Amino acid sequence: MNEAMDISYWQLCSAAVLLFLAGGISFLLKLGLEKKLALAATRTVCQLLLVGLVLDSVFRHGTFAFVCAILAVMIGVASHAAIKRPSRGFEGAWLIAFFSLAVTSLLVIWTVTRVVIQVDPWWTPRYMIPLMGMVLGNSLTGISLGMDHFLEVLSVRRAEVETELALGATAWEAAREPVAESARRAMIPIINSMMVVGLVSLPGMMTGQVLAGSDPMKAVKYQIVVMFMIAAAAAMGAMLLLVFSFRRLFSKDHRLLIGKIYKRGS
Amino acid sequence: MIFDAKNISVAAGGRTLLEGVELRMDKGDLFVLSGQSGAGKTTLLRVLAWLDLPQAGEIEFEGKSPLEWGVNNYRRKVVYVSQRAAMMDESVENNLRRVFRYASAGKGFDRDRAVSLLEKLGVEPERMGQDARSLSEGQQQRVSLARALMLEPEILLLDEPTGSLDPDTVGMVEEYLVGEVAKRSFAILVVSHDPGQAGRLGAKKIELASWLVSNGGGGA
Repeated sequence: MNEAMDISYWQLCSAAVLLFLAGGISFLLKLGLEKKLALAATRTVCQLLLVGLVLDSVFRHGTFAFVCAILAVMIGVASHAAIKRPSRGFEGAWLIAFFSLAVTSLLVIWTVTRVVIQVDPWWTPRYMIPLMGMVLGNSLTGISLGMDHFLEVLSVRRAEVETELALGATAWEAAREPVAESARRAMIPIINSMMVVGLVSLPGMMTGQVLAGSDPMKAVKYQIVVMFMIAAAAAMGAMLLLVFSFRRLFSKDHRLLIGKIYKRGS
Repeated sequence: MIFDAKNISVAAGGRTLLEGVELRMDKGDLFVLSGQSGAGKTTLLRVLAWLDLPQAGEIEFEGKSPLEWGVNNYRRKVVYVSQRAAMMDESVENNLRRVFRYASAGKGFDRDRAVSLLEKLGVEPERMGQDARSLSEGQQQRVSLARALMLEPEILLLDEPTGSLDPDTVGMVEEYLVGEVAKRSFAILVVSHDPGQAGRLGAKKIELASWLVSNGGGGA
């Protein structure tokens, strides 16, 4: 592998000149974006430097327990973000999201680190944490979309669901179509990106690897593994989430518990 | 007595609407339930169909509670038809066929029976292939009734089944229902705002008033 070219802090600052340029244009055109841009840029720098420091220390001294704690925080934050996006929610959604994300992302990453890349130990932080970040980022979008659609169908098309129940359908028979539809919704972004990857978009990770000096074929192989991982985790995560949500929103005696769903905001 | 609801209390939105509801039905019975809107008529029907839980009380069908029946099996015998017809996004025929795909379905779909039911309710057989949601509201309401009848229910809980119909079709539907009740095919509990309907059906009238909780009568 070629040694990645290190960027000096001085060089990093020169990239900021581009932002000043953008800010200057905004100021001239009175778009009022410069404050937001400055804030966003500052946050980017602070957050990433912080992450860099944390990752640095984790990679050096990461024990199993420490890695677990970091993963728990990552999954917790992802669950929170995932359930906040849909326009409706229900009690217990966070726990369901947490469980679905944890089970599927760990399963997928374990398979990849153990079987595909064969890292020892499988939780080696240098692999585990970036992979988890990537998988969670994508699963989160998937389960958000899936949950949003499921809750919307149950609320907006409640009459249809309850009509099926009233005509002798079990809860699962009445919910099967909404669940399937929501799972499809959840998968749209990842399927789309798998369809056009390399043609329209070069994934950020691959671009980063190539820029950092890795040879393209190596980057491609990693990228394929990553795409499979992301797709598998998103699909399984969404399905798990939907099944658990179903069990929470329908009673065992086949009633739709519409009262558990609440609307956000408004 | 095939259907026996004892001392039922009904609540909606955390407020008790009805208390001490007693209702006994046998095949061949026809009851019309009337009362102010918001008094809990729809909720009562939903409770009897186990779509909502009663606050208190017991429901028995042929001596067994809905839970003992298995709620999905119970709902095939005690069928609730909502006021606004909910058609699935598919043809009329598939809407009627759908109920035979459930695990609780005893037998298969009988197309001839479906066509004859629709005809008796004033829906032309040519409609079978039409997208159910493209039908008029009144047609949808009758398809929805036919869909429930396909199950060969023993108790029908009808929430304003003729609310969207013109007088001619109201007559057809009433005639069909009265005929079936006379044959003791099933019993009907119908919610109606039409003051003449009970008379035309020859039904016994049930006034909700006696079950109203004192503070619950005037709500929305």
